[in-house]
Amino acid sequence: MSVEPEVPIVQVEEVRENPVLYKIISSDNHVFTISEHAVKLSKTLWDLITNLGLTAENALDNPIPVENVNGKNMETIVQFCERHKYDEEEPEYTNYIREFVLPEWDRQLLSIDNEELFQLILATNYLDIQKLMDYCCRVIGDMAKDKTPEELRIIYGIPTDAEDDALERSASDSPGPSG
Amino acid sequence: MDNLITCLPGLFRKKKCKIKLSEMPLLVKLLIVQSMELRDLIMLSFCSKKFAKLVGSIPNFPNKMHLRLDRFPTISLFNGDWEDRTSIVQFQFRMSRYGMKHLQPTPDSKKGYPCITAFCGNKSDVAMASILTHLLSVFPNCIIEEIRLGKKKKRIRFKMEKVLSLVPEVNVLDVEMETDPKIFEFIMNNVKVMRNFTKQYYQEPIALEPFSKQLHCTDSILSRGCEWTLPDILLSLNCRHSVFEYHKFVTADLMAFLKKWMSSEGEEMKNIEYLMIAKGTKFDDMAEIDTSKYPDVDFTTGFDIERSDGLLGTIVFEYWNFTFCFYTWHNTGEFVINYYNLPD
Repeated sequence: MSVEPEVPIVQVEEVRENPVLYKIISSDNHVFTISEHAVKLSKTLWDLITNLGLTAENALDNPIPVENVNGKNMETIVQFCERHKYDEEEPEYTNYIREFVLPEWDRQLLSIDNEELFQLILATNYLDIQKLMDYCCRVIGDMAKDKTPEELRIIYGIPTDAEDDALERSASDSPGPSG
Repeated sequence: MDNLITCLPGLFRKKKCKIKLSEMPLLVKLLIVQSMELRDLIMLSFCSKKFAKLVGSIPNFPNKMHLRLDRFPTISLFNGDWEDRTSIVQFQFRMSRYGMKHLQPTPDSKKGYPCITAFCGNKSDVAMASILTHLLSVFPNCIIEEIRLGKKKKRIRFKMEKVLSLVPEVNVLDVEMETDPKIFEFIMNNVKVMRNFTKQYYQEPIALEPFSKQLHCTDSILSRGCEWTLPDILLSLNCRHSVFEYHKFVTADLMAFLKKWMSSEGEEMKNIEYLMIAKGTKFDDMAEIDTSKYPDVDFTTGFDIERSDGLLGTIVFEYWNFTFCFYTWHNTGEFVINYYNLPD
């Protein structure tokens, strides 16, 4: 018998048409329920579920801890996955430049401050959700529109060559793990 | 006062950094640059060497470049077809009073593609050369598709050689009227023209001494003035369609060409389908060819020769307008004509 953690349960979306639900616990102990179709968008989570042998019967009794993602990001991720769970599979990109239109709903969802967006990208990268990653990258890529190199350095926090060299020098001068 | 002091750090923080792209995992950084438009990507490549490398890691994008060296020098980058205006980004160069060196994205031009204006003091040649160097290092697979040479602006110091010395080869060279003869000589001596060459004028009255022995073009040559060519150029010809006008070739040069064509093997001279040499010196009659050997042939309109690999060529002299034409028939079996050997 599994022990339910004493934390608030966040119901992002009630999924009535799909009886299989999973529970996810974020790093700050928030619990989320997510439908099977939605969780499949995360390769990491779905691999975990299949490896743990979770089924419709025992899924809710075995919450999945995700140490690297906090509740705020997990909420956005669950919202996103529930929204896009029935989307058709993306066609393979033939061009190296990814051309797609970012839907308005998703643009709204990702209208968060840059620090949060940064954390969301790291979380999305960890959970391996390709579509959300594409959308986040588009939002960040769009920040570069019509900017000069000087402006881009500020927006993206890009160090100059001299700063990069100094960082590399200090990294090579610092003693290794053995001291 | 207190309020002002307390809010200052906040203001600076806002300005300092919005999102730390350098701290993203590499794959994420790649996805981000792949989601950018070409102009933004190019701007990003100017931020640092690391980001130039990141931008350059997108394979084959962009893959072609046009250079225009005339009154309004430009560098245009694009992917695929020049006619597809959506993929073009163009660098323009503007003098700036204060000698500022910076790049500014500018609204789409009338032609419908985004531009970047380089404000470069009074040294737009240096600016163009350094931007070209940067682009060639960031996009090493990007080929210089076309160079258009023309007359530069009066009273502007712009040394085209600075830019041209960075270009080892180009597919298409278009030389317009009033191009500085020295620049033309420089490009012909230093840049290999691989596919198409067009020169629309005869350089008068400042005729150069002929200097060029070869063109590497495989598709077309249209030289409406041949004051620059040495006769040897015919011996290295391997171009599908060639037209040389206002030349100084003599019959012996043509005969040398035909003999070389006859004895050439493999890919050598194999591209040639049509060669016209016209409006130049008057050719001698065909005394060198012993026409009596071929009593059945009407030499007044032309005759055929055949290479050992079966390739047929038709020679036509039009004495009345000093024109020599040479056609080859890449054997389709449709033309059944007698062939006659050239004289030894």
